[in-house]
Amino acid sequence: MTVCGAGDSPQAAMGGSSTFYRGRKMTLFHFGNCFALAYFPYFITYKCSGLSEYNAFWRCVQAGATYLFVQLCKMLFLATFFPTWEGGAGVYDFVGEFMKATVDLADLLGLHLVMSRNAGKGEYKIMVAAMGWATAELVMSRCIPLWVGARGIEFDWKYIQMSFDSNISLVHYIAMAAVVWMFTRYDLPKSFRLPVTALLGLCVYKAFLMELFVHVFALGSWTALLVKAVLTGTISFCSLFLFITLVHSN
Amino acid sequence: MAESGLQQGCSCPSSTVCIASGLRKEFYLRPPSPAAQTTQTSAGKSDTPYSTGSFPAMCKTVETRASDLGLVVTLLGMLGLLGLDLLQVTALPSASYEFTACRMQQYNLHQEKYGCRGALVVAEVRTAEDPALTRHCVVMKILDFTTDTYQEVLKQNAAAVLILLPTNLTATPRHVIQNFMVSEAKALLNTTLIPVYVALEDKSLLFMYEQLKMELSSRGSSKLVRVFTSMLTTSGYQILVSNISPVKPVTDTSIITLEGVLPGAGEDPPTIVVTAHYDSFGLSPWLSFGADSNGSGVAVLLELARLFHQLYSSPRTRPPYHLLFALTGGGKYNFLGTKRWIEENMDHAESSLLQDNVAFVLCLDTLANGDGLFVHVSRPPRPGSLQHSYIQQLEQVTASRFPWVKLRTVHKKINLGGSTVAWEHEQYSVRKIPGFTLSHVKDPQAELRGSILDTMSQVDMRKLKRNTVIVAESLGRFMFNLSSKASGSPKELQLFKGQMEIQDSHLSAVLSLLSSVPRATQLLDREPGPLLMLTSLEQQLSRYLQQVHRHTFRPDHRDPEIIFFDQMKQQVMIYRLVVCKVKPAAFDLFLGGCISAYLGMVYYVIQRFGNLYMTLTRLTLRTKQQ
Repeated sequence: MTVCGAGDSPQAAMGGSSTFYRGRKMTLFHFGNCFALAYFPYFITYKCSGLSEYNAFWRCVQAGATYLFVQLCKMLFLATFFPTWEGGAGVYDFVGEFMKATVDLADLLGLHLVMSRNAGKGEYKIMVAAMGWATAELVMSRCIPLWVGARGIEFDWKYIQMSFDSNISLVHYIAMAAVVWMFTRYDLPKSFRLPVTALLGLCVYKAFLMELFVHVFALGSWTALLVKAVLTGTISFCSLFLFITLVHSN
Repeated sequence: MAESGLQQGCSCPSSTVCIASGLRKEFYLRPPSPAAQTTQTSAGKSDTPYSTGSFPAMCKTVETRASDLGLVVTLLGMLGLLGLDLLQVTALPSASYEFTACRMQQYNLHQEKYGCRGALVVAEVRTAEDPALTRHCVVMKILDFTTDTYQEVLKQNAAAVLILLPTNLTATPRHVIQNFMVSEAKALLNTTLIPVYVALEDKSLLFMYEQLKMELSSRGSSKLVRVFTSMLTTSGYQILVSNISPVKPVTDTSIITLEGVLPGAGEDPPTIVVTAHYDSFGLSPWLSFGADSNGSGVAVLLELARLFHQLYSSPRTRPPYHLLFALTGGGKYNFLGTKRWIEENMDHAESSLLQDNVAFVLCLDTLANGDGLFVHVSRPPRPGSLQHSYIQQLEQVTASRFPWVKLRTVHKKINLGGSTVAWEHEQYSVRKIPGFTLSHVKDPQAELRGSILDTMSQVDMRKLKRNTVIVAESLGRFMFNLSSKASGSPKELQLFKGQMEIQDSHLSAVLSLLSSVPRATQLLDREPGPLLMLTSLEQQLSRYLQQVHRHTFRPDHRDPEIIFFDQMKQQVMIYRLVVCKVKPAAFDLFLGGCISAYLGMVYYVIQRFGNLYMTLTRLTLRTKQQ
């Protein structure tokens, strides 16, 4: 290791780093870990769902473009109508956050738009919309923090958590797309209206509910992730059940 | 809408290519039936996968290539990242905690090298009990810094040493301080390439220390288990020193000596010289405050100046001796300032008080503690000489007023061939000026004389006052020759009382001022804090003495006696060490393994999703039928 005598070159000293602690090479490996954790399920889902057989790649890209557009509109809307809250630091503005979460209804509209532009079976539409949407979200909101943060020498569990979160988002968007699809079907039985609407509301306000839980119960980061996974699992299971019932009721 | 037509063909799950099935081989064995394809009768959006030369086909080929490429990239990327060698460009880690630390002494005295010669540190932090210290930075509290530990650290070729100094020394037991001083002295005797840093304890550093100790103790007894767990679960700390420029020598350190005189009565009276060296020494220059050694000597000298100024102010009470005070620098480096001052006075000045008729030189060195006083002489004083009668006065005053204090004379011959000068009076004795040193320390190599733990909290003000009383009274009695007068001067006569009482508020004020600033020689001629202190000393002398001069001795450029090294003196003399929490390299591999297992599970689940779907469908149909 790196002891610099009176005449040694400091560059040599810095370069000969000990391999026992994480140097720069290993932190890139950590980035690779997180990226693989985030991206691999998407890839597997894409492959295994057979979307590749249906030229769905460009449709997914289109769905991703719609996602970007919808996010842009949401941001403009929020910036215009919801000025920054100047309340106290510890006060959680329930009403404000609730209103902001309501803007997420635009997500539903976006998904509906994507699905209506794609012709095909229900499953095809759902999967195309969900895959495109979720991949766009992955690229936009997770890749940059991972690249910047996971490469640092300092280790933080939040990057692994972020990658897990992207997995959960994938399932969430599939469920959300399925619920939107079911909602817009003209032949939806009356008895299904209520559960579908309820699930829809739950999808939209899931983020708000999660923040509420974390704030009220002071959950740790891993516990919050677990709760989010459970919540998403419940939503997706209910929507799957409803979907099967609907599709095979004829 | 288009899907209504499709729904009719979707009666049985096994016959259609159901996207949610996830059984890949079904897709590959049974390509999408043209019937299913042609029912996609939306307006102009049908995509037949087999038509060539059209946009959809191109999309398809690109898409398959893209997806396959994606898989290949993912797999290769994982392998490639392991071997990827990136640019050296720095991402210095974002500091988790940044603090300042002072480097150990580094100097060459008469071509002998001393101290630590390294400055740069990039290493992982371990405590001293860790068996594997190679290429790590060892962090120690003063309790851990023993000679054996230090030797072990040097033998194992550690990367650096960081010593944590408690801010409040009063809570530390006496023997711990003593042991630290001993190891400190031994460490300074040699030269080492390993950078040694000293930092003050604070919450974060103590927390890091405790964490490291806990991790060390929680490892298993078996060496294999320990190595394994240390690879995977240790969250180590890494130390980084920001400055990467090499250490440069500084050869132009000047040494400053202050002098002042109280002229005596009569014609050509003899001179008594009272001197003390004001600089300090310790493991690290920026942390050597030297309260006892030799802040106490300077405090006593200033108090003497104040008292005798009152005595000399009126002609009736003026004693028949010139009193010459000198505050010399470079005391810890073989009393270099004293030597140069003597040379200046004897060889270069036209007339000087030192040149003839010096009664004796009284050197004050380390007087703020101890229950005994030692008079160090280089040859026993001849009975009948002025020196002898002063020492007799000392004995009388001590015996009468402080009988529990033992005053002893220590005779040590000057070692002319040796490299170290033990006491200040030896520099005078070499020039045939009689002198002696008064100190509570018997051994000139005592650790107390050069330690960073020598701070205000270790000083006993009562003993300092007592020693000041002894010196002042005996000097006064000597100058007025009081003991030889038969009556009228009983032994209990106090010269300095009432208005002229020795005030311990003065003593403690001076000592506090001195021990608040590091007074290492390499700092004294350039750092603002020490420079200011030097100016205040000069001002104090000018208040009481006349003909106050400041002598600045510059070294000989071609052959300087002391060479200091610069990364103690420039703006990076105090290093910024950055400590951040890292995980060992094997941890990444372990995490990678876990993630691969998770992904394998995900793959399996998605593959089997089709089965799940069909099971659920059967369940719902069965419940519907019931």
